[in-house]
Order: sequence, then C-alpha cells, then structure tokens
Amino acid sequence: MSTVTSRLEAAGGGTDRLAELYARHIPGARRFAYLLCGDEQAAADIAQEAFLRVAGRVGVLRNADAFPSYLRATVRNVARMRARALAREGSRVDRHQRLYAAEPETAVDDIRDDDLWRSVTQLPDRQRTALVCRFYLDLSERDTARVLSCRPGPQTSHVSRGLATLRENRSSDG
Amino acid sequence: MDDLERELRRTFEERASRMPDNAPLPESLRRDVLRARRRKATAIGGAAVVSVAAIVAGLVLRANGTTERVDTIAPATTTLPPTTSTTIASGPPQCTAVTVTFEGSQGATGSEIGSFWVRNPGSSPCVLHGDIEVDLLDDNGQVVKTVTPPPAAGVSVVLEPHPEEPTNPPPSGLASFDLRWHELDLANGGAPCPQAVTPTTVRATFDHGAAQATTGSTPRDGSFSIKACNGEIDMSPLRPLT
Repeated sequence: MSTVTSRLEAAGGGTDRLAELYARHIPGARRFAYLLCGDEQAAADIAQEAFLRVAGRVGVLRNADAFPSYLRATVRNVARMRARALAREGSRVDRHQRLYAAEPETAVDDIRDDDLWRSVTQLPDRQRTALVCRFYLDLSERDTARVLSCRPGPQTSHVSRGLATLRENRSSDG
Repeated sequence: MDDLERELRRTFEERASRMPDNAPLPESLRRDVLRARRRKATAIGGAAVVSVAAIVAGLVLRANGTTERVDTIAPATTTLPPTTSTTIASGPPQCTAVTVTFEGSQGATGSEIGSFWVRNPGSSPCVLHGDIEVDLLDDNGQVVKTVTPPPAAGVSVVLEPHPEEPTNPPPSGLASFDLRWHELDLANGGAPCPQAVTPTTVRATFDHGAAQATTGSTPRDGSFSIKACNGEIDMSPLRPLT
C-alpha cells in the first residue's frame, strides 16, 4: 500500500507539491468562497475544507491542470452544504444578527452602504454562483456549468435571472 | 456590457480583495491531506486485493470442480461410518467474537477523526464481510446515536488471530474504521458548540449481528473523547488496517 501512496505522491502529490498547490490556489479559493458566502471566516474555512477534499483525492493531482476546476466546484459544494446546514438549523437570521453585532464596522455598515452587494447576497445560490463565475472569475460556459454541476446552457439563464433580479431591486430601491 | 454588469464586476473585485493573499500551508492540513490520500489508497488497494482474491478463488474452484466436498466426522461414541456429506464454501468462517479498541484521535480545522481497531482474539482466522453499524453509548449504556458508513462501501476483511492486544505499529490481519465529528459548531462559523453528543463508549455490530464488541471506557491511550457537535458524526467503511 505504501507503494501505491508513494507512487501517487511521486506523480505530483508530494508534500512540497502540496505546499505549492496550496500557495497558488488557496487565495483564489478563499475569494471565490467569500463571494459565495459573504463571511470572511467562513470563506477561509470553506476554502480549506475544499482543498483538503480535493488534494486528498488519490490521483487528482496527476493532472495538475484540472486542480483549479475541481477546487472551484468543491468550494461551491462546501459553501452550499454550509448554507443548507444554516438553513436547516433555522439559525441563519441569528447568525447574521450575531455577525452584525460582533463586527458592525466591517459587516453591517459595508453591506448597508453597498446595496448591490446586499442584493447579490440575497440571490438564490445558483444565480449568485453563476454571476460570480461570469463576472468575477470570467469562466467559460463549460467551466461555469462544471462549477454548477449542470450541463452547459442552463447557467446562462441563471445569469439572466440574477441580473434581472438585481435590476429589479435597483429600480425599486431607486 | 451595461452599467450593472460593470458595477457588479467592480463590487466583486472590491469584495474579494478583502480576503488575505498570504497562505502558507498549515502543518495540520498537510497531515490531513496525506492521511486522506493514504486512506483512499488503502481502500483502493483493499478492493483490488479482494477482487484479485475473488478471481483467483473462482479460477481455482473452476479447475477443481464447483465446490469442495468435505465429509463430516462421525461422533466418537458411535461406530457408524460417515453417512452424510455437505458442501462448504472455501475461506475462513464468519467472525463471531471480535474486540474493538479506540486508538486515539487527531484533529484539525475543527474536525476530529477517531481511529478504531478491530481484532480477532480467537485462535484461527475469521472473516468480516464489511457490514458495520456503530452505536454511541452514554454512561448508562444507552444508545445516544447510531452511525453507519455509506451504503455498500465496506469490503470483506480476513482477521488473523491476535489473542494479545496488538501495539503500534499494528501487525497485519486487523481491521479498522474511523469516526469523524466536529467539536465546534461549524455551521455557525466555528462557534463553541451549544449541544454536543458525548458518548463514553462505542459499540460496533458487524455483519448484521454476527459479531458485536464494545470499547472499554478507558482506552489504553487515555484520550477517548468524542464530542460531536449537534450530534453530527459520520464514519468510514470497515477496511483492512495497513
């Protein structure tokens, strides 16, 4: 068994390679996670958990080019699972209230000052993810579909519906 | 691109820039990743070994006939010759008595993984077929939580006889499984957990009740402590310990 492990590590998964992958990809993963969840600490945790999941998979690192794609999709899945857990426990409102109470200068004020960001945070998960993929990561349709775990095509409607909601919110606020 | 899309790009850039860039790999994460790879490599290797063994057994059986015929031994109190015969499958018998020991836990980023070894205290090899269910028990022996691995994930493991409790590094012929839990309330940003399941012993049932064993309340490493926040705990399949 150690032969299998050492062979895999020799194929690109050694510890130095691991540190290099982490340094190269984790900042982007954190930013992506932050845009999906809106919480800095949670984003750091999400990125770390996603890295653990992807880097821990035997054989994934044989194709280093696929790593960012795997990592993005995993970040999105981990973020979605966390959001579901929050919703399931019915503590999402409490969570935000605590967040606001704990860090008013970095959370409440910023969100209040930035209506667009607030509207983005209130979009459904798939629409928000599609917008981030399109307007932050500049991903292709195929790569966006991979993050959303769907076929290429539907994600364009998520982008359209997300933009429509944002325009609607903007016009109603204005 | 209209104003909204431009503003959206600017907002995303500005928001994302708040996340720090410096990111040295934490040593704990490095260990977790390498451990995960070893675990998966072990699972793959175990599955390969079982597959090869099954193929070889099939070829042998085909070469020797369908199954091995074994005559039963006549009771010593009678002089009658053996009059009956039966067919049995080759390989060790089902394990009916095993022991389970907690071998400690390791944690990082709010997650803890506890390792358990499964040993055959008998004098001849036996096999577990991969089905396992774990009950977490409180001080009174009441079940506070039942955990099972993902369906159809276990593999058969032949347990070699180990009458004495093995020491680290483990000898061959043991099985193991892991429990994973979170001590912090991760769904709440890693806050201290308001409600946790804290069992004092773990009872494992194998192969639909063919064998059952409970950990001692004081394991030999003295670190038995499961604190599963919100009762969220999962487990790995049963696998050979390597």
